[in-house]
Amino acid sequence: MQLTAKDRNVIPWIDQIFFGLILSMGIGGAVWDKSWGPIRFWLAFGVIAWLPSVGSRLLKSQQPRARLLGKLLLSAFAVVLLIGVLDIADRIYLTNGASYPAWLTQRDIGPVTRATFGHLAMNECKGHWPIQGFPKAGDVTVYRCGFDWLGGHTFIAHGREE
Amino acid sequence: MKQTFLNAIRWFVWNLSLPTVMLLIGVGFGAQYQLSEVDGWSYAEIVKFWPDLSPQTRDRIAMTFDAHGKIRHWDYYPAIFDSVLTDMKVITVTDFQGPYNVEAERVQLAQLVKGKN
Repeated sequence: MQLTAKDRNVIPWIDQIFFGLILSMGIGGAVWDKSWGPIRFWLAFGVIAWLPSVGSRLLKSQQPRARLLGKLLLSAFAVVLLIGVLDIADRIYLTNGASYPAWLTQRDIGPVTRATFGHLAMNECKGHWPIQGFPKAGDVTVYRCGFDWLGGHTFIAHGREE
Repeated sequence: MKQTFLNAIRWFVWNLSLPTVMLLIGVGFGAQYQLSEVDGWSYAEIVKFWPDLSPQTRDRIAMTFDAHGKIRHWDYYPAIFDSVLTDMKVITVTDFQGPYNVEAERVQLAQLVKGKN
């Protein structure tokens, strides 16, 4: 039996591009980074990005439970979106702000020495790149390993890098 | 049987060829990066610490140089990077985009590696 035209694109083009993007970024990123991190991140991104589509389809269902599930999925998406926006806002503030709130840091690592960077790289920051130091007001340096607050670690230190 | 096989191929082409091509492109970019040469600062860091590196770390770096004539990202992280860090306990180059010429730094390290043998 030959495939008919309607059998051809069981998976719509837009979904194919979406899956391709997730696979490409996740597995390609894992090879690039030599770590599993990108696969975890892009799989999570794929699931989250799919929530509005699945949620809105469920909202049109005749079943009350399905509509409730749709609302829950859309709410979950809204919460994740809000967290994402806050995470980006944190990065912008960390990079550009004159100060950084201590309560957002993991702990105070004391004075900045020549060994601070290496110590972080070998311990808490092992495998978390990039490690960057951001000079702030009051002779404070904020260290961030990893790009964002959620996925990385942030420390406060006193003094400046040499 | 043959028809079923052909149908499976057609189904794949219509439904999964695009994700497969995108996946291969992504893996290709990742592999290309891993096989490319490290930045100048990575060489600079090794050159600076060379006299104080352990014999094991020096051997590891020399083996990589002998095999490829350069250090690739694949060989550098985490193996060489962690060895240097374990030996020295510090990273001094924090400006990774700094003014490091990869050719000049590679030549310097190559001379040190040659001197070792």
